[in-house]
Amino acid sequence: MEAGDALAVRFTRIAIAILASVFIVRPAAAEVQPAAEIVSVFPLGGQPGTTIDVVIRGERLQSTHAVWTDCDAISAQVTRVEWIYLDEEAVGQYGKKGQSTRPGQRVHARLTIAADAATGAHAIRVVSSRGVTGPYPFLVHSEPTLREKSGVKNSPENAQSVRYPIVVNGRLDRPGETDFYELSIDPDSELQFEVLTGSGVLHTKPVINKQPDFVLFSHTGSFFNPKRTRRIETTNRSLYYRFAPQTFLPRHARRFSEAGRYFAVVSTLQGDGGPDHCYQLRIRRRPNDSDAPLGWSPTRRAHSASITVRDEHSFERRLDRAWLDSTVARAPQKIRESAGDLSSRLSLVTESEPNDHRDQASELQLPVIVSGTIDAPGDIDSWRLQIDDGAKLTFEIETPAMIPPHFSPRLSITNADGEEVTHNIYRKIGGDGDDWLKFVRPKVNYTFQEGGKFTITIRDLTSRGHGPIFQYRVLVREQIPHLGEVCFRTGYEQRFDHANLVPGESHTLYGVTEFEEGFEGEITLDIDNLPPGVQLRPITTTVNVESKIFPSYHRRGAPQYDWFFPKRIFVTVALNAAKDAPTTEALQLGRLVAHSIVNGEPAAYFVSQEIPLMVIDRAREEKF
Amino acid sequence: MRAKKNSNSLLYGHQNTVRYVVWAHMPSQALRGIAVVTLCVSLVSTAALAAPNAKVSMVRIVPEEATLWGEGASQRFVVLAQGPDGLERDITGASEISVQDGTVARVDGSVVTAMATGQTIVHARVTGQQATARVTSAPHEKLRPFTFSEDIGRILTKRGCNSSDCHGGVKGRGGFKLSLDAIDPIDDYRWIIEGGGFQVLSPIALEPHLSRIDVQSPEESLLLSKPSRAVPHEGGRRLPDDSNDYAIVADWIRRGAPITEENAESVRVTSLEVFPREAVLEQDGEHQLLVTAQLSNGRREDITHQVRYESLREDIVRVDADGRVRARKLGATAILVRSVGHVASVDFRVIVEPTADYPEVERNNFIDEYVFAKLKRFHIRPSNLTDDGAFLRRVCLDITGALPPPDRVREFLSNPDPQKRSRLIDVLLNSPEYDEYWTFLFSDLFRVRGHYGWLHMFWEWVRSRVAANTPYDQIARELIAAQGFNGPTRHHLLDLNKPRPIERTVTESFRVFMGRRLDCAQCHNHPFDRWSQDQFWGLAAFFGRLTNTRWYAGNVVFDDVNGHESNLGSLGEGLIFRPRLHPRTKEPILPTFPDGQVLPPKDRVDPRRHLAEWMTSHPYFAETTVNRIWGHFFGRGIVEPVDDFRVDNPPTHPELLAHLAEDFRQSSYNLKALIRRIANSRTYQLSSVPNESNRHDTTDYSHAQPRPLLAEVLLDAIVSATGVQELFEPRGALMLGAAPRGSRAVNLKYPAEYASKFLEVYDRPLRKSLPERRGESNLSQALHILVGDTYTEKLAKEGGRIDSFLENDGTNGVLIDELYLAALTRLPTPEERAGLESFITEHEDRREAIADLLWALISSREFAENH
Repeated sequence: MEAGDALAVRFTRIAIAILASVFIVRPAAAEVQPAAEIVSVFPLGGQPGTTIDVVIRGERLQSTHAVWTDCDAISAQVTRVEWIYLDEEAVGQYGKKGQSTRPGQRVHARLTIAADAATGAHAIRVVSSRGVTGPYPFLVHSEPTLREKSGVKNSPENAQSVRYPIVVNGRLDRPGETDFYELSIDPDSELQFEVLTGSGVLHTKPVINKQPDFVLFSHTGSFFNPKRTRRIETTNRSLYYRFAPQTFLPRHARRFSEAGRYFAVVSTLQGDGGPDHCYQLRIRRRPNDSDAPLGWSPTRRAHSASITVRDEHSFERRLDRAWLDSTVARAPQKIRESAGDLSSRLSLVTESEPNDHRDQASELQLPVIVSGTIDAPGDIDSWRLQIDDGAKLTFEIETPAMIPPHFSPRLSITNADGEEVTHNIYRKIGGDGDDWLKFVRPKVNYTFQEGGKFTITIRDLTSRGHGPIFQYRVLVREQIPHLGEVCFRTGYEQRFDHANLVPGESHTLYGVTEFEEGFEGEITLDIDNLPPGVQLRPITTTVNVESKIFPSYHRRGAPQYDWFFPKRIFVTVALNAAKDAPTTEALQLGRLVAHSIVNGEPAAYFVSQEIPLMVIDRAREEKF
Repeated sequence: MRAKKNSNSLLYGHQNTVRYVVWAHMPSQALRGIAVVTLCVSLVSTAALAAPNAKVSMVRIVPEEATLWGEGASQRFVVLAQGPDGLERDITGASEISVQDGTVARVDGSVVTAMATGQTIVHARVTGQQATARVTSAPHEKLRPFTFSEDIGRILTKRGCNSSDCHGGVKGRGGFKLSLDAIDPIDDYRWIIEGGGFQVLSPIALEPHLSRIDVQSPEESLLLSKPSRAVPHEGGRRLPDDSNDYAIVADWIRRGAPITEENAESVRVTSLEVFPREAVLEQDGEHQLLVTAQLSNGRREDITHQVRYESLREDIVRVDADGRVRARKLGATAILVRSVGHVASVDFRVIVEPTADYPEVERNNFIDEYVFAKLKRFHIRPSNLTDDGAFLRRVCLDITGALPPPDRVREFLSNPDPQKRSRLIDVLLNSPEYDEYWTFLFSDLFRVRGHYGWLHMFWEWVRSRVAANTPYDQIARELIAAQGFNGPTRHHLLDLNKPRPIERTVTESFRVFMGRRLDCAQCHNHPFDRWSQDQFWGLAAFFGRLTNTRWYAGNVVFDDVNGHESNLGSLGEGLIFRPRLHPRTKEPILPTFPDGQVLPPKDRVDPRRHLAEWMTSHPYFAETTVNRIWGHFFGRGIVEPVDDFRVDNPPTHPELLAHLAEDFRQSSYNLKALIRRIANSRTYQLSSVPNESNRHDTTDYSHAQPRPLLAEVLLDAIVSATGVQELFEPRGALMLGAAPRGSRAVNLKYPAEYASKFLEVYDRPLRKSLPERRGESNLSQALHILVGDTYTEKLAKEGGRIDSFLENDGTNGVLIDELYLAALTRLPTPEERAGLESFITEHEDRREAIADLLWALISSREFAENH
């Protein structure tokens, strides 16, 4: 097909789409009713091969009849649903009960965790006549689990004794509460302590207990009080979750040279507490990968069960042959053919010191994944690369052991004169309007107008960061125009996760498609496996979708935007349930399917996202 | 009652506190009587010694040797006599001074002037005794060449023209600007020759450009006509037209006003020596100062008549233009001596009477050597060693911020071990309460606050460093040069979520770690000190690359190799890194150490690390730190305020300060070792009860100065005494819930975040700036003691110490002892016990009576102060 033909086809399709959106009778977009919501789950998880009773607190969970889990290895049975006032159960420090203004439900369920259930974070959802909730993490560990004892344990005198390895399911019932756990530790033990909550590992809402605190005390006594404890030092590798901003989950390690009685104490940094402040205290011998916060990767695993994420702009993605293959698979046919078996040509290079200076740098051949570690403060790892005139290259960075802000890799490409031609620091104006905001980016595209010898360097953004956790991988390759992430969103960085549709009403969704590395073409989005009577239709909108979805990236003052961010194409659709659509008792997993079309020909096809859907009857709403 | 003004400098400067101390003070009427008698004795004594035939044990003349370089050169002499009371008095005026060889030199009063080359002896005779000095009149093979900086600068300094309240002020005065004490001769020369007004934000002089000299008619020059009052001059008559200085200036102008002689070897003053370095005067006593310049050519020159003198407390001593000091009232102060680019100070103390039989005072360590030696020189007897109870209370509060429990008090009081005090100090230093308290103190100093997640990181870093007793230089380096996503980096993002302006950061860093206040130098050369604007911006430039990423809340602090973006730049043309400019010269600022050494480009990747290394290895760092810690233990620093070292704020004990600093350095900046050294000194352990000779001393550590407890410590003390916990509920938006039950106030990461009327009225800091604690008493505190929740609820609430006692059914005597030990760390006197027993017995409601007693104890000054 000639270029002119392709253009004509494109215009025709656009015209059809516009006409369709005008003439198709647009369903009434009713006000979306508040969704059913899980507020907390207690206990937060269990051990494979056990059955546990859990209490799920939430809103609009009346008529709950099922608890959905993301795998067959975990099954659930709802045993009872109670109406409660969520805030009434919150007790202040002075023992005063809260208000009775926020009705909610307490769902009792029995979860059976099969012996072969995978450890890690699973997702559960509650299914009721009000529909399906968003996901909530359910954490499965190989260690024995224990439920905290009832009553206060806010001092060494009334601490609960535990033995490790253990996972204690606890709850900070009231503001200012501290839970003391006493344990005897053998000499020369190296232990790791973690506090996990329902926050951070998944996109949950509301976010509760996002900054739990963990402190370790030894039993020492003091001049003033023979029962005094002393706070002791631990190596802090608290996990920072960009997934749930401002969430830090403590992870501490310590080698105990002497045996003794110690107290592991859980509280929150903000001093908050209540019936939803559930946590897991995990104590175990320090594993080999303990310095790798992503080694136990709840986020990716939990999502893989319900949502397929391709986040090319994350330091967490695994850069390997499979990644390269999946990138090629999303490219147009022509490019796929010309790329051939690209991954077989991929070379893997490990840095070898000294390589701080370009005259010490080794030569690279594309495509290549270089890996290394920032071994010492100020360490710079360098490679050399011969680049042709006009070459369009992509540099992808992964930090397998630690993501920013703990390790912020700075990539720099300098020419033969030592001038920096590109880097991975994205800057924009923000704050109160006169601040430069900076981010390290995990992907950089750059076109080298003039070829020559270039040097790639990578270092920590600071001059201090170093050590085994400062690992990186950099994939350097020619650009592959392809489709990146395809998903539906509902607002500012809010991924569309599930829908509870009322017959005759519709939900407006914003489809976002990322055209990576110069991909040009068109895309069709569809959701298949919809419940009967549910349809997806294109609609027009007056909303500036781009600013609604990514407002922070589109303020003024963002130079070299195309270095760091893909072109984004937006489409607005309505998920509409017909007036006579039958209600559903169980959730149905719809599948977001993307077809790309290049030059009028199908280019790629894939399922991008699984979406739990239900059709509900609002009339069945029950009153407290 | 007598008003006693204290200064409590607990890790801060500027904490002047007015407290009314009841105990240990005599009724004012009796004191006045003693003062009058003492004054009379003193006057008689002085008069007797000044008389020619008074009995003196030793006479000496100062200097004992002098070299006069060339005919006309002169040297002033001072004759001193030591009386049987041990006090050395200036009796120059009563002495007969002569020279042995009148052809070599002549005498005019106490000044000997060279007449010809040779040697001679100067005799001073008084009360039948004689002292001699040797004078050499050396040939002056080459006259010291004229330089503007030394010769004209000296006159401008001596005459006060370049003082901070005249033309040496920020913008000068009357359109004429000079540098303070002629520290910048090049600038001074330009201002005089070219004229023009000073502009803060521009190096270009403000018009009109009116030269201050007239080479054709020197006497018409404003530089002469103004100070001689030939034309009106707001500053008065500073330079009489018949003075030698006038003639020198006129001659200089007449010669074309050169900045220096051609091919002249530059000779400059390298240091000033002042005699005496310290002196004791009786009331109405006098003393002549001698000032000697050490020149760069190795010679010494008497410049007593060429310098400017300034008394820091004119109500205590006055000094005239010739360096004659006269006592006015009891007290201690310093005289500043200013010459071109140099300042020296002399300590003066005016006493009631000398102590003839000065007692031998036991020394525990070198601190006592310096303190007691000075006290002896000043005829002040130190108070006795404090008793065990008071020591226990003092050291517990100072090291841990906590009151000792009653059983520990009993144990300590009954312990016969002679080493028990030093053992206790070690125990306290190793206690978890020490970790908590010093974390709190340093959290105040480093201003731990902000976003709660960051607050926690920052606080945790401080805590871990205190607990590990990390060398203080390392702590400072970690804070100044912090990078990454960790505790100390949060310091650089306080308030703004981005680095503060570099001028603010450098000012605070210098104040905290170097004890100097550079604020003024930001806009102009420091008006009271030697810090120039160039030095300021050279230091500030080290922070010029400081920036941060934003990753939600995970901001990483780093030094951008490209520099710092100061503002928006040209958005349409991509990134523009604007170099920081000197506000006056508009030149890019480069990281430059105060000695002018510019940081080499290769080191600018991590400039703050180099600054931190320079700062922590500089003598200022150690002396500032020891002074700060000293101020915590004594209520005032050796330099006070503790963070205001400057040339005109001299230390009271410079040698002690130097020795402490060296000791601190030798210990690898070990804070616990420093605290141990101070707490083990006898000086620290002196009683707060003064004696007759030290009653007026507030600066020389002759007795302990009662210090008000910090708000948080006082609250914890009330909790400790009453046995009723404080509940800390959130006040602001940062905290969602309460602090853990049983938290000490000093253990809160950011006390200002919790609602507490008590902490508010007792002046808790918000940690927004340095310093914030004023430590002033106010009416709200008095009202709070009477009716405030803290007192009334803690006494009324069940479950505290009172109820615990009542459950045990003890006698009133035991109860009273218990409460005294818990609150005051002492047992009641027999009179107190008897009176209180009858008070409780006669009261209808026993619990109420006990509560009243406990209220009386915890609302007393004895409780609220560390003494």
